[in-house]
Amino acid sequence: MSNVVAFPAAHAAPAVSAQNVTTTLLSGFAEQRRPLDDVFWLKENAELLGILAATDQTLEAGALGVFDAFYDQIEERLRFFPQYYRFLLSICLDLEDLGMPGDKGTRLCAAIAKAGMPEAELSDLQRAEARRLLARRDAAKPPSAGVLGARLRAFMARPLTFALPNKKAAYELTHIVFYLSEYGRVDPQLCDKALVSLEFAGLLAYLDQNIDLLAEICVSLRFAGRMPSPIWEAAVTAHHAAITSSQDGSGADAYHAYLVTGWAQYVRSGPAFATPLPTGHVAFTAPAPVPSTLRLLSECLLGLGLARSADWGADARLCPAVSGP
Amino acid sequence: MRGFVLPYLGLEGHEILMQAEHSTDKFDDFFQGFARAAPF
Repeated sequence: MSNVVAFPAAHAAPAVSAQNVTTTLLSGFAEQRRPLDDVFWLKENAELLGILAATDQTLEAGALGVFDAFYDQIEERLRFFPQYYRFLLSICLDLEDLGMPGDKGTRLCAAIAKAGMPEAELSDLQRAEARRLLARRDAAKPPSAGVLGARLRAFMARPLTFALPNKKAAYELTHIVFYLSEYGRVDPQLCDKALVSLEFAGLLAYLDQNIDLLAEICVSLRFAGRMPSPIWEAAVTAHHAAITSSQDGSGADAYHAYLVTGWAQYVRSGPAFATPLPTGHVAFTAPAPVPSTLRLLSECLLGLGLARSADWGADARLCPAVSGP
Repeated sequence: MRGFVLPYLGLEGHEILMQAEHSTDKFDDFFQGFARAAPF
């Protein structure tokens, strides 16, 4: 991994050594990027800790200390913000699995299961996430079990859904694979059609140069025991290397792409997150997007009208109406 | 169909499409679903 790290002179800070990058990430996310009472703090920290736990990171002693106060008060936060129970529980379980002393996760899982909080969920994906969390402390069946598991598999086994641009459906597909595979710890046992669904979603992501989504698809394919296209994985690796970090910036940035492309790199060949980052507030900037080939392709097909064909390989004379630049 | 589409994409789009075609043996199947369902 070879991130380009930008340090604007006016805000320069000493870089940390590579082995401290994880500590810097934890500190930056826990204390610098957002205030603790911002729901995006929960989202970003849940995602960071989830990926660190999934990549078996060895943390430096005391690296989790930035979460001590949060962990101490987690029951109170859950009482006051029960609508965020999945974020709170995910962070709690990942902290413990990464080495935070304590066993609150077991008690919280039991209390959440007893209160029936997953039953308030509207979508199968959210129910699956809740079941996966509770199952980590034996407070529920895994998401693959029963009627829910059957519905998840039926959703995945319809490739045509994923031949159309639908980012929400594509991200739901990858997350179902993450839950069924326990983030790469067990075989998700995907059927052939589900694997085709991942291939179609990957093609759309590649045509759209949506490397964030493509990274999740590559991870999902590897969790399913399949080799993603080397072309896709090369694009993910190049994108990760091109993401720059700095102390500038606030609000929305490319942190998610940084995390998932680093995760994909770990799953592909490990290690990940080894390039130094600035200390303090850290923001991530992705390379400028290229024009979407997917959009051009769609516009072309729309312009063809009745001349449109579903046969990609068929010979066709060039249509003047669509002979663009 | 390929012949219709290529002139529309420009050099960069052409390259990405070519890479996409080479990235999986499912491209023809994918395109059937993509083109038939009016994906806009």
